[in-house]
Amino acid sequence: MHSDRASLGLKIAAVGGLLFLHLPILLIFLYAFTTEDKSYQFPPPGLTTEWFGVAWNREDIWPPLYLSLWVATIATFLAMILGTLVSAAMARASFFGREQISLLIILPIALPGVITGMSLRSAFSIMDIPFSTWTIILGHATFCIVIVYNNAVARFRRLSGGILEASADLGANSFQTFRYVLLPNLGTALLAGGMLAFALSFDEVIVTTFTAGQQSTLPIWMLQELVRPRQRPVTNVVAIVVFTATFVPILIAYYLTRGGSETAGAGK
Amino acid sequence: MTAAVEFLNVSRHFGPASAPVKAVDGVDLTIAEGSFFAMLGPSGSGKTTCLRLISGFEKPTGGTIRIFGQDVGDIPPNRRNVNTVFQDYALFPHMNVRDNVGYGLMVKGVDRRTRDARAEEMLALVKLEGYGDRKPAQLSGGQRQRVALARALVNEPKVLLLDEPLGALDLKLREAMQDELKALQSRLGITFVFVTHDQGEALSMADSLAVFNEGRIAQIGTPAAVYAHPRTRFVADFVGSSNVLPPEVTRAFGGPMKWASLRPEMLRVTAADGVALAGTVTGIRYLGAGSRLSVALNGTEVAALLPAGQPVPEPGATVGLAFDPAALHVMEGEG
Repeated sequence: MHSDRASLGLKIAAVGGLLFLHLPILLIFLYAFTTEDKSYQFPPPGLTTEWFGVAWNREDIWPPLYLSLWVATIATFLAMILGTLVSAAMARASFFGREQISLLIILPIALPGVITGMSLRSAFSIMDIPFSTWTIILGHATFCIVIVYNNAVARFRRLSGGILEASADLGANSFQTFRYVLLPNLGTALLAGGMLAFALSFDEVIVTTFTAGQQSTLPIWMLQELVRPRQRPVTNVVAIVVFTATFVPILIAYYLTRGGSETAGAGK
Repeated sequence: MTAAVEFLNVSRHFGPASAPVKAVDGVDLTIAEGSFFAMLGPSGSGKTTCLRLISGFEKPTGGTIRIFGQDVGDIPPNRRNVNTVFQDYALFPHMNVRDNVGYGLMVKGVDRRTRDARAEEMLALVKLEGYGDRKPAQLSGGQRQRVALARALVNEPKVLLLDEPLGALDLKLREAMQDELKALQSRLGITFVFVTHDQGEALSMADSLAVFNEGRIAQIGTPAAVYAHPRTRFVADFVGSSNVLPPEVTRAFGGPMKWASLRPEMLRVTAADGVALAGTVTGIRYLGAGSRLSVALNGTEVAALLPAGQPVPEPGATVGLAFDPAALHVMEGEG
């Protein structure tokens, strides 16, 4: 008794679930165009695009936006280097305690952000490191490394180790093997990992709250802005920017890692 | 004749020195230039490790390896004039066939036009003209095997190493590739070192072969010599699954009190009366070109090959066994 077609009840439940998840996002978009700026009134009394202009001219938006972009870029860059190195080591070596270390690497993303944030904050305090842009970047790098590591280690496992040996066997030195064999096969996984890491860093709030000094990243700025009853739709305009800045990389990452049919070296 | 590859008391041990895993243990070996040399043995016998010692992916923990007289102890794989056809072919999945074949030339800095021309030559050699633009994923197993071969030969190695290259192919293709490899080897005159666990493959292709057992060489010689005169019980059983007779049975068969080997095809099945050796048929296996009879004889199972066309006895029947005394080979080695 196995039916290929889902029952009506299941379909309704699935559609209902998707709507529950995604309608609020649509409402965020909708309120960026509302004419009412004190409260979120439904339905909006009128529609306007003036808030985009207002947001553009608001001077206090730009520093948080630049800071978020800067933090995400540097944290991703650090994570790409460290995450690749760690995944290369973990995929190729086998040693006592390998599984445990693998767990430790993944831990920053499994731990609640509050814990990561607290531990980083106390660590920075103990070491007398003043809170700055760099402490935010370090905080973000802890979980960005995990994203890059996860992507890269999966690709390393799918690569048959034989092709690296084949390259050396044919006379290539380590650099040539890296350049002509490893990088082309690892490239999309690294790019995908980097995109995801960037997206994650760009809208991170919890760890940032603990590791930031006086600066605000864009999500923190939004949080502060929501409390104030003035020009609320401006926050929604910024939300659309954040949505685009994170959703597009995630979408690209999804397409880059989709489809295992071209798995390296798996075919016999 | 020059030695292409020489092993002088070579060992490769893994793990702690107190309890090492002896993958290769005290191997002495000489492979003549231009020969087709097979390393034969069950899995875990050390044959693949020996191959990797030649290619340089493993370093010996003891002894010396020479390739054309040169001690290669400190020479990394990419600077040895030796190329490998890997077991899983290890083709570069992101490159087309032409770039795969030309890879060895590219890393040496040969310009594209020259290496494309060379790659086409190599593809013609392995009968894959016109496949240059395909990706490895678009090829069949047999075609990938040929690409791997062409890729390994493009650097004109002095020694070509083949690690169970036919293992993934079906029987018909495997037989065709055996003939082709053999023909290619005699045409190019390159030394081929071929690792296999298939004794039939080793016997039919090799000029000489080494039988590996537990990290050591059990016997080395021409296929005919190894087959006819196995030195140890292991070799007798592994190469052509011979009847290995314990000393007392050898005695009963008219030999000395020693371990002996008697090939199943050397035994003639006769009527039970009037012969010295008679036993009960306990099993019959039909092989197509004949049948393999198991005969219980004084408590020992003996296999006899019955050619097609002869009457096959019923299981449980009593039969006589006869053989030419010269076929009883007494083994001097242990194990």
